[in-house]
Amino acid sequence: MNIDGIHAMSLRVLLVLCVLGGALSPVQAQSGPRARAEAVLPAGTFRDLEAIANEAGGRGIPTELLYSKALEGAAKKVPPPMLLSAVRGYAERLGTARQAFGTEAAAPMLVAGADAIQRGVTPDALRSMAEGGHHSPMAVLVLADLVETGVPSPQALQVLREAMSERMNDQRMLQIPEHVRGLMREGHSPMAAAERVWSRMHRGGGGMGG
Amino acid sequence: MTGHQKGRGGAALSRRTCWAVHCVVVAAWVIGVPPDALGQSTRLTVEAGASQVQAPAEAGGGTSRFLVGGLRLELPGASGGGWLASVSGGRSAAGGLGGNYVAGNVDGSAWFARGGWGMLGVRARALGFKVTAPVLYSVAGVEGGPSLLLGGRRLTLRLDGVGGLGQSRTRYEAQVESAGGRPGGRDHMGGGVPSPDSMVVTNLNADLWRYGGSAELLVRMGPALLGGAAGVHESAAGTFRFVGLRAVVSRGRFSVGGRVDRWATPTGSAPAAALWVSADLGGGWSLRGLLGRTEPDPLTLASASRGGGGFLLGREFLPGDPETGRETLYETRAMTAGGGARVQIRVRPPRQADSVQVTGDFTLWEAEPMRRHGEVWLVELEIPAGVHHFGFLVDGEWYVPAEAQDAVPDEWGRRNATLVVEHEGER
Repeated sequence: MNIDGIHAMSLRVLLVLCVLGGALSPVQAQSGPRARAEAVLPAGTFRDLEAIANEAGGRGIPTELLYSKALEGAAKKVPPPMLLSAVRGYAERLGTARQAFGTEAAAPMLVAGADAIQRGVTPDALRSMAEGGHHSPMAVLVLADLVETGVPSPQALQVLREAMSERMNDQRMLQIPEHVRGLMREGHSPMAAAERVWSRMHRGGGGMGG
Repeated sequence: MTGHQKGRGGAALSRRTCWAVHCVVVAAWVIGVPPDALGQSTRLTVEAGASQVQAPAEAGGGTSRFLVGGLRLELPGASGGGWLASVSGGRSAAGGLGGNYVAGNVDGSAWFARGGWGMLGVRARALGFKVTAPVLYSVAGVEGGPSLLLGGRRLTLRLDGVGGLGQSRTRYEAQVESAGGRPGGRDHMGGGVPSPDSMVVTNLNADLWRYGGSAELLVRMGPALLGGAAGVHESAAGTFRFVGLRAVVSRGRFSVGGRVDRWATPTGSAPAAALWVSADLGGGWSLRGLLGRTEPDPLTLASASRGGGGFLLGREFLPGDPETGRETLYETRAMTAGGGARVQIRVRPPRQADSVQVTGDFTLWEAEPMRRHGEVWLVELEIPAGVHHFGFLVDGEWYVPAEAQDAVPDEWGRRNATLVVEHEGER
């Protein structure tokens, strides 16, 4: 290959890179969280992150969730040590959620489960929900909201099971914690408020806001 | 003169009293709502509407039309009980039978013991009613008894016992035949020339009572509750029995229910059937409608009607409106072919801002500009199915509204908002 040939190849490579770059830049999602993390994070941080991700991936945890968590930290300008520590903690919570929901649980359920643990829901409560055959991320979010509001897990689960059995849509399900908080503002304890909401649902009286 | 009217006047009195008693049912039927259908927070509803009811045969038949208005106060109690208090009035429309009326009603239940087997509680009702024509008639009563709710989510058996006492007063003014005179009447249904000498005022006080019980078995089938009911009551007039079917279907903001009963009363058998609808129209407005034949009332001894209907348009006032407590930051506009959705994200910044951006895992935590729309900033994005975390950059500073629904703490002392796009048919 002569000089002209090398020069022509360099131009073609440059052209391909430009085209690729132009195609990828508007929709970063196409490159995936791992590629973007590699581009954004310092090389050393990324290597440590990849080690965490590989270990978690071996336990069945979707690794893109961990890369995404690292990107979140980078966007919030978190120092690398704190960023990696957070990713490890997130991997632990995802693992706990996976144990609770089962190995077949999809990523949305794991995210919702990890969030719920962060908000005070016990793994046993998650497990209990899964054992009822209920696999709705929205229901897990509502469970976490109720528990965070102060509703004991058994009562919160009772309400959620009822909602799931009625095939309640997302909008109505999201209103459950609001109804509980509304009753609490009227002087009911969190447990009594949840029991009251459950009772309305259970008796089918249209109590959930019509 | 006080006492039971005899002869021709007595027959007219009986029919008109029956008409007045019938109005009790009209009022209770149109303005009333079962305590089971109470909302979940204290609310006051102002309602107005109209009703039309065919009088029972023993009342002489005919149609009465009312413009109805009233106040309804719902007071939810603990453990699923609650109380409903209503005050209503009806204005008799021109050309109709019956007269203007006012009515008050308190109805409710309280559950004080519950377990895996069900709930035990009490149910009580107090009522008062006064109508001006065709006779001046008033009635007041109280009744109550234990309630036992057995079963689970699929199958529910409810047993109610009830005992009640009441009293009715009828004031009837009529002109009676006098020596050398001619019969006449000064009541609302007759003509004649009144004379102080021939005016007779009849006051009838009747003690009312009943005791008995009923059972209702309901089976849940999806959004529907189906079942049957039966009951027997001893009353001041004799024995009332009924057996019937029940159905309620609830979908979102709408409920439709029906009941078909066969009543055996001291005056014969009477079918009763009703169809009701209830709709939350949004914005605090509601609509309730009824169509059918009212059932007899063993306490007030009201007869079953021959048919009718009514509607009430209501405006609710919620002292503690629970739906205003949290801020919704997104709205799914349409599902997309790839299993995701087009989602509109919106936020009202805490202060005047020059730029607002949204960032989240669905943008790989890159900032996506939002556009100003008054005080609200908006952006519409296509987001894949899943549970997503996000937040806003208001002039470069992280921001998630304190009232954001399902905000979750992040690992660094801040909060993320949560967005859910579910797969169709995920549940």
